[in-house]
Amino acid sequence: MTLLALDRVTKRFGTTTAVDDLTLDIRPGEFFALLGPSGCGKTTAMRMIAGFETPDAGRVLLDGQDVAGTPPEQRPVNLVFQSYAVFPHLSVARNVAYGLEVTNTPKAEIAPRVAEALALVKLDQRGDAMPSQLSGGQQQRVALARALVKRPKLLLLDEPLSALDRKLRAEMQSELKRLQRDVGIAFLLVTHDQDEAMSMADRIAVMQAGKLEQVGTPADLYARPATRFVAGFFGEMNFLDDRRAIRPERVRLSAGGSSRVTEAVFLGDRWSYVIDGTLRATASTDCTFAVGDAVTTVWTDADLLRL
Amino acid sequence: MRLSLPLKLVLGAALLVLYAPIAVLIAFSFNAGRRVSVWQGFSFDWYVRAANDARLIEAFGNSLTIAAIATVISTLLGTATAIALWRFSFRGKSVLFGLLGVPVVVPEICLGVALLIVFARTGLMTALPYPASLLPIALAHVAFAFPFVAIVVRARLAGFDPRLIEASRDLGAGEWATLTRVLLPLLRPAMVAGALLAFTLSLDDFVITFFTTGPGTTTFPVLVYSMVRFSVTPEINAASTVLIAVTLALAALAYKFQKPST
Ligand SMILES: Nc1ncnc2c1ncn2[C@@H]1O[C@H](COP(=O)(O)OP(=O)(O)O)[C@@H](O)[C@H]1O
Ligand SMILES: [Mg+2]
Repeated sequence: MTLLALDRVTKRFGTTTAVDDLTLDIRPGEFFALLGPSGCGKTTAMRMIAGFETPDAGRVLLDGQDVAGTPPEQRPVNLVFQSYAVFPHLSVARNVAYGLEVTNTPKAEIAPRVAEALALVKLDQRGDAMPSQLSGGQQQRVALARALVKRPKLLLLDEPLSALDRKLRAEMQSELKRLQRDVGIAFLLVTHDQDEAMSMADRIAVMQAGKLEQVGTPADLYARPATRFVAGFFGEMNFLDDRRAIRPERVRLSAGGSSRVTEAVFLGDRWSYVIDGTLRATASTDCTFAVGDAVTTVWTDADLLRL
Repeated sequence: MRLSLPLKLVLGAALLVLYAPIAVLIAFSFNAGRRVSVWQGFSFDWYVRAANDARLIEAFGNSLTIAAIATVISTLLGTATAIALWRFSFRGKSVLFGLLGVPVVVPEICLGVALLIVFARTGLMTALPYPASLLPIALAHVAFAFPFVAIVVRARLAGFDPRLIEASRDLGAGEWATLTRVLLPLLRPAMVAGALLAFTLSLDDFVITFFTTGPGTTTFPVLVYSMVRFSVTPEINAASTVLIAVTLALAALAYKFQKPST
């Protein structure tokens, strides 16, 4: 079952290929993350789904229908912009009502839906406030409520948390997750933050330079990265050679041997070591070495990742 | 930093040269006597007389009517031009933008002559009966006033977040709803400022009006000019003071609206 499919979509701007032969599918009700470093084409992919960019090649399918000829205002998807793009001349409630008013929703229906959407993002007390009176985090909630009130099939969120400070970000992460479960709408979250994608998404697509690297659950991507790029993107990784890699927590240490501990950092719940200047290893707190100690590194084939 | 004494003197002299004549003009509009250079006591006589001068009132009314018409057309045309230049890319866009500056920099006298030729050729100046005869003048004023509106509106558009337009469309609004519900409300301060600018430009325009006025029609500045050729009376001072007050009030309003709002 597929809600949205990108079928070999390519988009070029002049000589740069922003999105290169991208194929994806998003299922109804799932929390999907599009993850990749800045400039890898995430926003462009999202804008093609919303209808603001036209693919040079390939198709965008919603519920199996090619939406090539459908303008943004008629697509059953909504976008939460990275810059929020809250209408500065309208109150919070009027911002949220906007998408219903312009589509001639019956008046009697608008007020309760706006109230419901504002309650969903915990802004029910601020309906009469103007956007300039709100903090960045609150403006983002307005943008979120404004999109959710439309009851889209798919909600697109472009780096929704990148502008927030750390504490607020952690709060919003769990709140977005809760919201997504409550409303049951599929979310497509664009982010460059792997921890964010890991902690929120059901499935993650990793992109690099416009191309898809791998799609999978967070556990899949961590345990079985398909490419060197993905292997290096999540958590720490030791690359042994072109084809083999190992996570620091899979490297076991025993006392005595020909290797030397060159760095030892206590992290509270574990120790982080660097062995012979290159190999990273983590160990539990009852396995303590000091810089200069002689150690032997041990792993089995099952510990290795093959790329 | 405090001003040094020589700088203060220069500044004072400059202000004197700039504003003393206007101050004198205003002061003598309240003079009790006929003389425009000897103070003979305070009175409102000249205002009363100006208010009873049918020619003066008619010219004043013509000026206001022309300014109103020119302002409405200039604001619509200027705003539309600015939006078109901002929103669309088309061949000759930069040329069109450059052309906008032409009426701003071309000497008014040239524009006046050019419009005179056009109006004379098309018979616009002679054929029309009274209220309609103001229309060619208003159109001439539009020709030089609408670029000012376009420039003011364009300046505001330069700071406009295009994502707002996309957000509107994303939420289901078509082009028209986006224009009337998002773009125009946010441009309103610039449109008001541009409109007031157009109004004051039209109200006190002499050169272009002089060239495009048909027989039997007159505006306030043109009438004043014809009156002072015989003699300067405090009546003209009084009427001019009213014009200054109107222009200043509008300029102050324009300034207020021009300031960025939240
Ligand atoms: N409108 C545009 N015109 C030209 N180049 C663009 C445009 N939008 C994006 N790009 C380029 O396409 C590439 C991908 O951009 P983007 O999709 O914004 O990446 P991301 O969102 O992953 O940071 C970048 O190299 C960017 O410079
Ligand atoms: Mg981006």
